[in-house]
Amino acid sequence: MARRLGLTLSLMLAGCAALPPGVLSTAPLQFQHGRLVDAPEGLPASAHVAGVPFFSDDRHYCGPASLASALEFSGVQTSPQQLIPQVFTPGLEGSLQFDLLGAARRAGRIPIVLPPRLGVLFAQVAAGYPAVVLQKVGLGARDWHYAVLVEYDLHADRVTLRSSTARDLQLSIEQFDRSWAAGGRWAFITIQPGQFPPDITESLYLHAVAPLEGVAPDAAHVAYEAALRHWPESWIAMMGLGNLAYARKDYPQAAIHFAQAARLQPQDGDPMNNLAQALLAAGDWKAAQGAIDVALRLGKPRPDVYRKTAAEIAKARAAALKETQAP
Amino acid sequence: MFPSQIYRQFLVATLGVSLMAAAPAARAELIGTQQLTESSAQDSATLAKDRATLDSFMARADVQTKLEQMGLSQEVTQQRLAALSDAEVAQLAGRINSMPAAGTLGFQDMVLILLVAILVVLAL
Repeated sequence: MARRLGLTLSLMLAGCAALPPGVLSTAPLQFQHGRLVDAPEGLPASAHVAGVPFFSDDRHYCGPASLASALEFSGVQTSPQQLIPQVFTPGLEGSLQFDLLGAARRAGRIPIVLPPRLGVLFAQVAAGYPAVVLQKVGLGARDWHYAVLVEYDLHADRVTLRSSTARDLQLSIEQFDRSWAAGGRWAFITIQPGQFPPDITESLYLHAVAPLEGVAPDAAHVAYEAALRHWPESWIAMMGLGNLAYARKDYPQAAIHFAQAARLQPQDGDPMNNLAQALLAAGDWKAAQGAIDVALRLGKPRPDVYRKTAAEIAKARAAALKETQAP
Repeated sequence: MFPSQIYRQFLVATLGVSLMAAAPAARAELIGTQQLTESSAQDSATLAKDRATLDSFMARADVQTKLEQMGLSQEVTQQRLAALSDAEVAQLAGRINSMPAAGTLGFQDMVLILLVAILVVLAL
């Protein structure tokens, strides 16, 4: 029981152990006999992202150091010192993975956790995005480490990382893949709203943007608008714009966006539900009634929510009618 | 009601919820974008319940003590919680709900594990 707890703890935590990597993974490697397994089409044989900042760390701050590299490179004025309170947990002497993601969101950048494929990871570097990677670098339960991938070379069998006190740590691809695989091949890039990395689908992109609505709404707004230019049929991006408008109490604008989402996705009741909510909040319960009737008729995917909305509208209707009947 | 539930409710009632998992302003009847991007179906009522579960947990005296021991201020923790996605909150709520009752063997370990998870989220 204690060992399982310890393992659970260690898997969440990167304590920046500085032993040489390349250890325990029994997962099938993705670079074999000099070839990348499942390489994306058109991937260059080598690529290097120039100008990625380096923050030396000889203690436990590989989380803040790596994140600061990635964020600064993507245009955020920051430093490991500024990030420590957001990502570092003193009692654990390390940084937890999703605290890195949360801090990226708070800085107005979109953290995208990559699919666990070496080819996709390299494709990001080829497109100019450095990636923060999680590695297991030793045999101990706490030997986890964050570093920043800035280069790969398939022919020279080499990757280059910003890692601890090494500005350009070089590993063989297999060494890197082993250490990366031991952590589930976890890596993320931080992008500006409006950037579209390779092999990142609409679904993955929007999944990464949505959590920004609460902590960085302006960035989320720009990201959704850019998504619509990139994927003009993206009704979910339109719903995102609507939800943002609703959150800042601009109900007419929210209604416009939800109506547009409904036009793009006419068989789905969710846009009509939110449209009804926006209309109700804007004071027009009659129009809200019309919208929720459509949602109820469509009946999916969340009929329980539509019924709750309908009940709210009914209350507003009753209150309005009572007023007009007052002597 | 089981003793552990009474204990929890007593704590919440006396301490108040000082560490809120400050949710983005969403009402149960407005379908959030995160629900649309999640592959598994999520409903608003569950989301609200999950955030409440997280809030209650963070309000416990033993949890607050552990946070202090770990060198984390309430403000810092609050900010980190606010940056969690709905899916992350749901994962954590699930783990809180499956915790053993107070006083059993391994309970303090579980509190620590969960706390660690809450400050980020289990990627597992």
